[in-house]
Amino acid sequence: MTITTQMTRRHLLTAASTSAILVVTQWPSYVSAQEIDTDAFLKLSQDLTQVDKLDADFAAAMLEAYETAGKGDAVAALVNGQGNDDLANDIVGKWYSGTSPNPDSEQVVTYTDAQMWYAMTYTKPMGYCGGGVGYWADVPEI
Amino acid sequence: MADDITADILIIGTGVAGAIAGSKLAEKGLSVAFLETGKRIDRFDAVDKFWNAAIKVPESAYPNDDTAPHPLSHKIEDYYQQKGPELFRSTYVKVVGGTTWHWLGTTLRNVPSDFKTQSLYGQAVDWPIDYDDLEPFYLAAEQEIGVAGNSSIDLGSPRSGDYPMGEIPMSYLDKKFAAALEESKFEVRATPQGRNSTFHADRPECCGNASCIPVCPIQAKYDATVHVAQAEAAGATVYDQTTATKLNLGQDGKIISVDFRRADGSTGIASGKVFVVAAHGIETPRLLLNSAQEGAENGIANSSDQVGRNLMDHPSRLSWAEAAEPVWPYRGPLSTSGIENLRDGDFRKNHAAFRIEIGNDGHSWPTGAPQSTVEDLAKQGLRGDELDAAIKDKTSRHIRLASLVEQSPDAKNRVTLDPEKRDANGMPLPVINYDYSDYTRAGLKAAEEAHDEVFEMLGAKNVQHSPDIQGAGHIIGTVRMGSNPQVSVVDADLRSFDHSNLFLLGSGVFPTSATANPTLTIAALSLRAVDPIASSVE
Repeated sequence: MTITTQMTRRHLLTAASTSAILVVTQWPSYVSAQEIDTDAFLKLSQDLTQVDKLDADFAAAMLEAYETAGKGDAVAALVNGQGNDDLANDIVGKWYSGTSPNPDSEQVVTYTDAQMWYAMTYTKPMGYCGGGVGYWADVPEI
Repeated sequence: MADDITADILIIGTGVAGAIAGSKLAEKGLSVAFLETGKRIDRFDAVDKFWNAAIKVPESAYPNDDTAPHPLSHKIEDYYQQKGPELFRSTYVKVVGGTTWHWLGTTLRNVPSDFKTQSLYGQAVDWPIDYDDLEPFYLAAEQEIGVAGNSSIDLGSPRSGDYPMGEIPMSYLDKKFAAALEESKFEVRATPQGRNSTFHADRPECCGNASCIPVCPIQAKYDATVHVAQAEAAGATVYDQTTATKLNLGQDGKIISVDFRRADGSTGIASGKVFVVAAHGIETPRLLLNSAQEGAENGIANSSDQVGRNLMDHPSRLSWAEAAEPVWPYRGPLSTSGIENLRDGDFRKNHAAFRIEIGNDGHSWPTGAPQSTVEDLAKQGLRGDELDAAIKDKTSRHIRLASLVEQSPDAKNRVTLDPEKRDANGMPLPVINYDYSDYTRAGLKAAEEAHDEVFEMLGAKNVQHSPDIQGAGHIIGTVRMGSNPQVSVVDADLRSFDHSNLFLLGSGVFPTSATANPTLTIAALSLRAVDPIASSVE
């Protein structure tokens, strides 16, 4: 809920600043960090991960974390087609691990919805019940 | 200051030691009050906090308030003022229920030899009690905690009765270890555990949340809030967010009161007839030393100069590898089996004993997996189905061992008080001097060699050993029990030699660390102290 609220505010601010820029100038030849919105980052993330159902709220939080970490311009360049394998790999890794791109963050972007759990079909996030007593004694159903 | 708390028995700390003793004392009809520096914890909030934490250390589910500060595993030099030469790495939390909120749940008993290593092996010191003295209380403690185990398995500690519940099933991974080691010197056994294998004591059976550390979301695993609730039901009062800062001495050598400070900054005095400090191996000596005063110039209970000394842990050799085939970790309780037959033998004349814990938690402890694993695989450029398959294959083969090694008691390993740095309650921060003896280091080396052998028999690859000696989260010693008041702090009843109405409970009183995870022994000793405490109320 908090993320949604913050993103609504952030979208509004971004939209306002974009309008102001349009009054006095043409679109730049590349898309700057300030103008990357969640949809663009979400589309980039879907292309990189090859996962269609990525969450827009997590995309917003992740994009913000990249910007906070000083990587906003690099993300924008990647959106605009500039090659950057390390960053592309990092974005995929973050979607799978759920950890924040901002190394100083004390919180993850998500834990329970990290993509790794969809790959680890034999288990589930820690803190979720896995089944009856002793389900762990056998080969899992996968 | 208001004299605003009064009870027959004042207990400082609501962890397993204080809570179990307090519940039994309250049930005897005695008035009991607890002073607890931490908050009450909402279980779901703790789970949510853990999920959201970037660094998932054992403390990650709990508050670390200025008025209830605790050490953090990933910032081990912040709270502890470490003087070395080694870092003391074990931590705890300050909440109602204490660190049982994030204990693993292993409930092994000590073996009989652990009580007399000096007599048998010429090492360390003998306890003032032997195994037979404690056995009835081990049995009672297993009932109180609710231990699931197989009573017919010989773990080296003779039993006079059965566990209250049947064993927690071994994991698939355990069974792979057991099969590979069947003809070897390593005996894989199901571990007795303080978690329900069936509905028991109004708590549900374990459903394998795999988050025992830091928090069991459904309380299938015992924690000391069980006994806090029993104590309150019997009339005890818990004053949470209330920090004991100084024990006050009367004219007859008895303790007469405790100064305290609440989280809101207000202060007061708690008075009683008997005082129990059950704040474990760091905070108990911290309080005693901070209570130096006329008549106890070296600190309360410290005429022997032993308070704060002989700090121990189970220094741990942490090793990990990749199994040849999937063994499906990251499921079930974090550990369900161990190798226990290396805990005693004539070798103890030469090197420390150890037990090997088999983990079901993959590489979480050493590498932060599975998060670290998936990021590493992504860095290789894998995508889509190929990435998913690699994650599944890699993580399904993660295996981990940790040997908990007996540590020598050494008077130079100690907790003292920082002369300048204080917390928000005005309490000096703990200073720690810490090292390992050659005897302990030889045990660590033997453990590493054992890990190599086990992994080899399993056909595992990519064996790695942590370059650092790890802490086990077992804070032992600093107010040791003994029969000689010149070299120990409490007697076999856990009563201070210096103050007849002061008892110290918890793993701080252990004269030696042995190799068993300490909680069951803490509980047994606390139950044994109940009658002496009760009879001291006049």
